Amino acid sequence: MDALTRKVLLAHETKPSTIVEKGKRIIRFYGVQILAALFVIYLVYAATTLGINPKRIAQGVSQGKEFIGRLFPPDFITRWEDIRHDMLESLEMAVLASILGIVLSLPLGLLGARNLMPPIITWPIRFFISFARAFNPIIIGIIFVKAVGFGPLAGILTLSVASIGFIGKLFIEAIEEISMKQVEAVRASGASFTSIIRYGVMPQVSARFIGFSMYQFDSNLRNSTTLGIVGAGGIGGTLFAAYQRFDYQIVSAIVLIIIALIITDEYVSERVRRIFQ
Amino acid sequence: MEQPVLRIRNLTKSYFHNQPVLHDVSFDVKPEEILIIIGPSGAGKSTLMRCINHLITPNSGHIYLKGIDIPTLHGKAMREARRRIGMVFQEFNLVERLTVLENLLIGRLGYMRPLDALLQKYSPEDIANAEALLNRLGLGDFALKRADNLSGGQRQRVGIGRALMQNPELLLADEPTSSLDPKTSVEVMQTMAELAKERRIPVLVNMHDVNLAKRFADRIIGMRDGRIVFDGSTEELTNTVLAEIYGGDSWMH
Repeated sequence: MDALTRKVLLAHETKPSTIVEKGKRIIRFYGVQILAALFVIYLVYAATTLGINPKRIAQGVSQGKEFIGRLFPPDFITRWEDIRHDMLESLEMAVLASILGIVLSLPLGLLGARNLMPPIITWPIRFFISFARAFNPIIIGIIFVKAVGFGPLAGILTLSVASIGFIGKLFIEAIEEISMKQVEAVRASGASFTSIIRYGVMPQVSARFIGFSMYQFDSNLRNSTTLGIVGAGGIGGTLFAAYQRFDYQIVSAIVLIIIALIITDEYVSERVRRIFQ
Repeated sequence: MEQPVLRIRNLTKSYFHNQPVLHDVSFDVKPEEILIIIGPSGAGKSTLMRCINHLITPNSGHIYLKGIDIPTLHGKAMREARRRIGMVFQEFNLVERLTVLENLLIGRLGYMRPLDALLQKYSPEDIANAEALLNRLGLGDFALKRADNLSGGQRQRVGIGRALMQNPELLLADEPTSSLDPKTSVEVMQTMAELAKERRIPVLVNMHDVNLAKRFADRIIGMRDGRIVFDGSTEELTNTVLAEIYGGDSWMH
């Protein structure tokens, strides 16, 4: 509220009779300012309790400079065989998990859409999909490593669950936005349920499904490079090991390869999306 | 005297208790006739249409399509009855992202085996028939265009084509011209009437436009508040009758 409005409003107010009313008046006119002040106080408090102060920042900056110096030149040669193998493993994990996730998300999306299915079916499906989305892939990864053992199988399962969580939800939303008139027309022709889905529903959503799937592949590829940290396969394991051995030149080599992979992928997926629009 | 194609007896439908949208509706559709239902919005015309092909289940009453009572049907039998009834919609209801040809072939889905339908394995006759029909509808050049590229009149022609591809024994048209301009409306009605007569299919149409109805109908039914208040020839549809159907006559002048 700007000063002028406040002044005008104050002029029209009757005199407050009690302390409570006076308090209410203050909150009414200065509510936003009070909230902003409290928020600033919280920020300062949080920074202090976490030990963040000018001295700590200066120390961090000088250490960072030294670290960046030790990253160069990147060393692609010493551990090349490991890097190559694990990068390909990450890529394969992402591809397999995306396919599995998409194939499972399709029926789940159809079963979870409230305009096609009764609540008795949509409710558990939607719960399952929310559950799949609830945890960061690293946490799901830890669980799968314990469940099925170290290696890429744990990673593939992790990324599949993550894929279901996200594209399952997006599929449901896309299906719930379709025009039911087109569906009604296919139904009126005497088509079976599968034909109604195939000709009334899918044409309306398939382009968006491909877009969502490509986004999910991008995301799976990025996540497949970190899952190795918890032992679920891929380049993350080698990256983490190099980091712990202070082999920063190897770390930088791996990071550069990941960047190259992600950029290539984004380029390709952008092209694919454009084809299907 | 030939048997009627459709016999409707004591049809009642209410969405809320004691508020019937259709109230004890009975009438026949005779072979090859164009029967047009007129009446104000909310008279129950669309609900009636949707009861006939069982997109809606009525509360009570019978709808006999050549002797089969449609509201009692379920599952496969219901789908088989549906494919015998072609439906044309007010807003065309084409599957926008499919081609014109694919939209026509939707009319064949009810006849196909599920797996063939899933894999788009249309029989060569179906494709040939669809192409011939498109030419007949003046849409031969549009077969492979996506349906959302067409104008309103063209879309409704595709809608008619889709319904006819079912080889229906009855054609239902739910306000087929309400989304079209007056000239296109007449053209679309002409096309539908012509093709139906050629194939000897009776047509049940509902519409708002009294003049258009008089021009194309063999018989007219007037509905008001879910009841039939008039059933007769176009000559019998006098201004007095119209005033009863629509309530008052001030709109005529």
